[in-house]
Amino acid sequence: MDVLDVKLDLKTMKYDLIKGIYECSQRGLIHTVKWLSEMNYALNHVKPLPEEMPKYSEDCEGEMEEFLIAKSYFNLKEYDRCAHFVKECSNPKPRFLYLYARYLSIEKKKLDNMTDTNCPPDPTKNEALKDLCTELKIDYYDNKLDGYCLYLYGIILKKLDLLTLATDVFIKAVMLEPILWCAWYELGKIIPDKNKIYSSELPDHWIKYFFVAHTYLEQLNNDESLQIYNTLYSMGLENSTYIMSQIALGHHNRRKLDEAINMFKSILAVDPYRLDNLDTYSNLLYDLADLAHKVVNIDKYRVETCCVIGNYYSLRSDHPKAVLYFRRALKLNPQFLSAWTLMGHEYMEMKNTNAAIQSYRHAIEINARDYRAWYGLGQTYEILKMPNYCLYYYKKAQQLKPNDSRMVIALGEAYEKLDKTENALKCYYKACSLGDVEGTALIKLAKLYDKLNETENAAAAFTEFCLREEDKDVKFEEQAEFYNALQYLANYHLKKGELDDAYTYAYKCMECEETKEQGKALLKSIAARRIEQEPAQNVVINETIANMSIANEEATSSNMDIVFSPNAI
Amino acid sequence: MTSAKEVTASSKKPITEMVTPYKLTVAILIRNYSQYREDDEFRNMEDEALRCRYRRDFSTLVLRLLQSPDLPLLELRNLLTSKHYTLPETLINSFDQTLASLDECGIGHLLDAAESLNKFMVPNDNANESKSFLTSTTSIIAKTSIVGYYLRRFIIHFDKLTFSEVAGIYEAFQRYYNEWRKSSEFLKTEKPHPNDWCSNWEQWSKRQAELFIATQAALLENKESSALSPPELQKRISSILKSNPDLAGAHFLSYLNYLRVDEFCAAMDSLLHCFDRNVDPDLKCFNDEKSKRHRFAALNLAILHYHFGHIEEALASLKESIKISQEANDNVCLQHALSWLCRLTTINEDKLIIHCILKSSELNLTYTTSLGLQTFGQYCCLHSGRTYAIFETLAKSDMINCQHNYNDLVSNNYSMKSSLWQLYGKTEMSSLWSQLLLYLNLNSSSSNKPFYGEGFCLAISNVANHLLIQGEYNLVNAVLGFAKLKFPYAPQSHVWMLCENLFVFTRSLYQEKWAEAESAAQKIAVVDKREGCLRLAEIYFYKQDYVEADRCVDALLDQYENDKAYKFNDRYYYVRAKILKAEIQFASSYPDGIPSGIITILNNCLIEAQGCQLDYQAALIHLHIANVMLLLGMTGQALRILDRSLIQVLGHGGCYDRARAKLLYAKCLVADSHKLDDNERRQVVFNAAKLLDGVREDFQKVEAYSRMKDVLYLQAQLYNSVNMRAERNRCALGYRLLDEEHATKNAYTLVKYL
Repeated sequence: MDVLDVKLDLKTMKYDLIKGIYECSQRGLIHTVKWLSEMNYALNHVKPLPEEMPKYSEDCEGEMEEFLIAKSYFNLKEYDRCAHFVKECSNPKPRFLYLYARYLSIEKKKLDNMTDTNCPPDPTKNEALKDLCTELKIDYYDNKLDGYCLYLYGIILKKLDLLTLATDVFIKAVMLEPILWCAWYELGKIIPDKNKIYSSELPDHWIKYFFVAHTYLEQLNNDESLQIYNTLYSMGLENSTYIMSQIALGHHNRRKLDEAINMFKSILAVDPYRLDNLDTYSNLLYDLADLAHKVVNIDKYRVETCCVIGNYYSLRSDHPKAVLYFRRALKLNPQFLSAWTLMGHEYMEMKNTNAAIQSYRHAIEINARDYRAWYGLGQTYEILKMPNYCLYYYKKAQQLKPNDSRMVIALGEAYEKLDKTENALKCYYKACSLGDVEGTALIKLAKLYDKLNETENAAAAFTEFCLREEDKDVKFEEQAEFYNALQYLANYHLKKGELDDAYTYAYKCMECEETKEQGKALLKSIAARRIEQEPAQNVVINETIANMSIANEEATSSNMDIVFSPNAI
Repeated sequence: MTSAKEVTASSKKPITEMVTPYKLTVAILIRNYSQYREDDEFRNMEDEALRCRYRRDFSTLVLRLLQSPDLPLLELRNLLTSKHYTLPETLINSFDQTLASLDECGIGHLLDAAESLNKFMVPNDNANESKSFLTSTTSIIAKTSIVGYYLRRFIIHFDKLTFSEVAGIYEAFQRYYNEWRKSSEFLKTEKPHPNDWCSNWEQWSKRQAELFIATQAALLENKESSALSPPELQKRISSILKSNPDLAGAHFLSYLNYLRVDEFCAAMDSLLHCFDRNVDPDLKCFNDEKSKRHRFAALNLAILHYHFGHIEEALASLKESIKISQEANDNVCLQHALSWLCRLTTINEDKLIIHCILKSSELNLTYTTSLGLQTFGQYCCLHSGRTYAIFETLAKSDMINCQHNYNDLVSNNYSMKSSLWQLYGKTEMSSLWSQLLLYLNLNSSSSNKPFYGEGFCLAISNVANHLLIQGEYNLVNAVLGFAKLKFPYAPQSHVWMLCENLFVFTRSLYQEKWAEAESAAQKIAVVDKREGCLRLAEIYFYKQDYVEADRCVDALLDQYENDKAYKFNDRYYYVRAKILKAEIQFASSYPDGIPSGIITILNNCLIEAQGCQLDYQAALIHLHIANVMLLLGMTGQALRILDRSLIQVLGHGGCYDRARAKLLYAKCLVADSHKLDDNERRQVVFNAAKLLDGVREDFQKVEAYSRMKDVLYLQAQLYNSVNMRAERNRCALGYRLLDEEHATKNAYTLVKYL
């Protein structure tokens, strides 16, 4: 099944979803239920006939009572109690509930103990988890685990850092229970790269599209991911907030800010109390006050909320407070990557380079693929005037995001500072060919050429720059740069004797206050050159035709009038 | 700015130490010991020696227990009963009992036990401390002793625990205890190595980790062979980092570890990680103080690049370090950078070094001063400075090293002197200094800690080289084996690699095994390009492949004469290359003719050699001149020249050179005897033939069989000419026998070669 060739049968989908919701809610897999239900809600318009609805069969023969009491304790988060009552059960559903309750109990206790400041739990000590893992392992090799238990086994393996094994187990889990979104999700997080997705044997199921797209997005293959999501979106899932937010994330990653913002807006219109991914949204906006107000009322103890508020303070240039909120986010979830990076940015603003370095390093320790942290480290060292030292960091960032012109430009600037012009030129070139998000590569390239006295190349780059600037909708953001470029070009053409071109550029220079004077001076010298040239022509041209040359002179003088006319104004 | 304050406060984690079952167990052990000491059994002990032994052994054991990472109870118990420590039986029993009762009686007992620790430390101020110690009435543990600190820290940390935490620790203890109970039933025989850093334990407290890092780093510096092997060490480091992610030192150790195996990417990663982590974000000090780490980070990056031979990158990084140090007025960092600059650049090297020495001594950076002096000595030597001045410079460095006990520099200095003497052709002196250096490390009575660094390796190799030229091949092998054992990793390993290949080369050259010698020479070229090139030329020369030999030598000479930037100031190689060139010229044209300018060339060489006091090379040149003279028929002249140089060669040359010199001398004597009358001549020839016996023995020692045959042939001829048939036949027989075993490959050595 080719993932790019998406075919959806909405009715089957609906059937699967309803069935999945039932099964997962029976087992207490609340996040999966949430995802499935969201998806189901998006399929509101599909109305299956009653006979098409899935039939629920009771599969807890003789253990109904145990299961029900355990499930009620489970819902109340009394996990140990829950586990106790289904300890002896052999049916798959109570069995899963038993194992899952034990796992959650371990995790809950771990979390509770986090607050013990005197004796924080040792992350490497996982005795209880290991015991549970051994129990599952025995069943696993006896092939006694169903899809749900396999998923549980997988997350425990992942917790114990046994990633390759966990990958295999997750794949088995989704083979058995394709509807189990949480298993797909975890699989997407640990699958190393694109090739692995294709090389592994995955079930042919509609959910696979979601998985592939999701994983692409995780791995920053934004375009492929967006393609799938857009197709899904257009095939009857346009109400799915999940897909919308994923599309928004994709746009965000591709720096298509307007699209992303619009998408977030429409999500919030449908689902105003949704907090997921709002931290990304807050990175995009310039006015955060309303959003911050809204999210703090929804739930103030959510990482997303803290990040939004942190970003808000950051926009208000109240950096210490921003740091405070990022810290709070990190307290809620120490593995929350972007908070570390954002905190690093805040420290940079506060000129506390040491703290910034630390924050970025934390981010890298959590995920070495976080290009923003590498880039931030590079910037920090560049500010500390260590261009050679920061090269390493920029290179890392560039490796992780090879198609982002910003990294390449940063690298180029560092090279330029180190007088490695050849490398710098290469970088700027590359940045230009990558699309040049910030539009500075060309001007840098041109300036560098100018510095190297390669006027031809410099002029070509400046020309290209001017053309692009003029094409832009929002005109002349970089006013000074633009007019400097014009001035340079005017001078250049003047030197080469291409007076018409020189004239055009010099004339444009007059539009801006700063370059007005130079523009005037240029026009004067162009005019002077014209006068010089004319007699020279006269000498060359046959002297016998004296009349014509006189006529020529007249023409020149009339030209001069036009030239100097703005001068008079 | 309340918020800012809050930020700093919250980011500063209180340095807490985990209360682990191991710590609890050790505390209990100490408590039980204290109880035991107050016991009547101990006080009334008859055997005073045993009592002292108990006390001493327990103290050393406790020190070890406090410093090592957490041990499983099994290992701890094994230590208690091991032969290294003699501990009273009663103590071990009571210890076992306490643990067992702790396991059984529940959490209340644990709290009681923790409380009872308090009793053993009564407050004692300085006045009665000594008294109480002497009388040992109540307090056995002084508050300020190491054990006292440990207990007090333990008590405080334990006191802070909430009930749930106490419960957690109790359960952890039960697991810890039962693990031992289970395992002790099966594994009773296994004894841990007493000095081993616990096998693989995951829990490292910060102190334990720091001690481990410091120890391993010191070992890497001083005695690499005793440090853990690279993979093993890396395993420990990652386990340390798991429990102490904030420990920047661990990253540095991992950087050092990667350098041992020349792993560039990982080394770079670790180094930068170390410096990123090393900054204290709460540091609110002046700007220049703040960026200090960055300056040293850049400097260290330069060192890293230098290690991998990336000179340009190293220079760029160094420049950066210098730039920011200058901005911050950091003279100390600047000095360090300067001494590295001396190493990396050849422009104005002398001025840089002098400046470095002066400035460093001004700033009281004695280490860099001394290092600068040594570098200057080296520089002078390479630029043919005056010998006495060089030794004076080194003596100054010696003085500083002595004052500050810089073991590494002391050994550097010794090895430097050794190599200087070697350069100046006094091999005996060179060998002496090397042996002195080796002796320095043997001498356990001196306060100097032994230092097994680069100098030591050089000294071993020098000794090996000296043995090599004396023809003691078996001993060379033994010495090299020792070096390999001591210095398994780069960069020190290059030293013995060079030496080893030189050994193979020399031996195969003497035995005329060209292929082996050539491959050895290629290997030498990997470590030392110039030496390899020379050796290759030598092998081609002996193979009579004069064209190739000439090419090699010319390549070297070209580099020296034309390429100014190339750091080939070393006259030693130049002179040797020139000599070889002259030899090639001579050998390639003789016997058809003698190249006209050969004497001039040799004389030029001689001037060059004498100009930089290369006495031994000068003596060799003299031999060559004498050889040419002899072949030109100017025998008297040849003898006179030999008179001048023979002592030097006999005194300092190796077996092979000595034999060659004596052979030449014998040839000259015989040739010169044509002036004498028959009787006298007979006497001279006879003496010369006798003299050749010694020559033959020398050649035999270095296994130069073809040269032996030359000598035997000459002897036979000489005996023949004086009509001593028996001797002649004996020599001829010897020749015949040798020839069967070792066919001659170069038939001209006797005539053309020295």
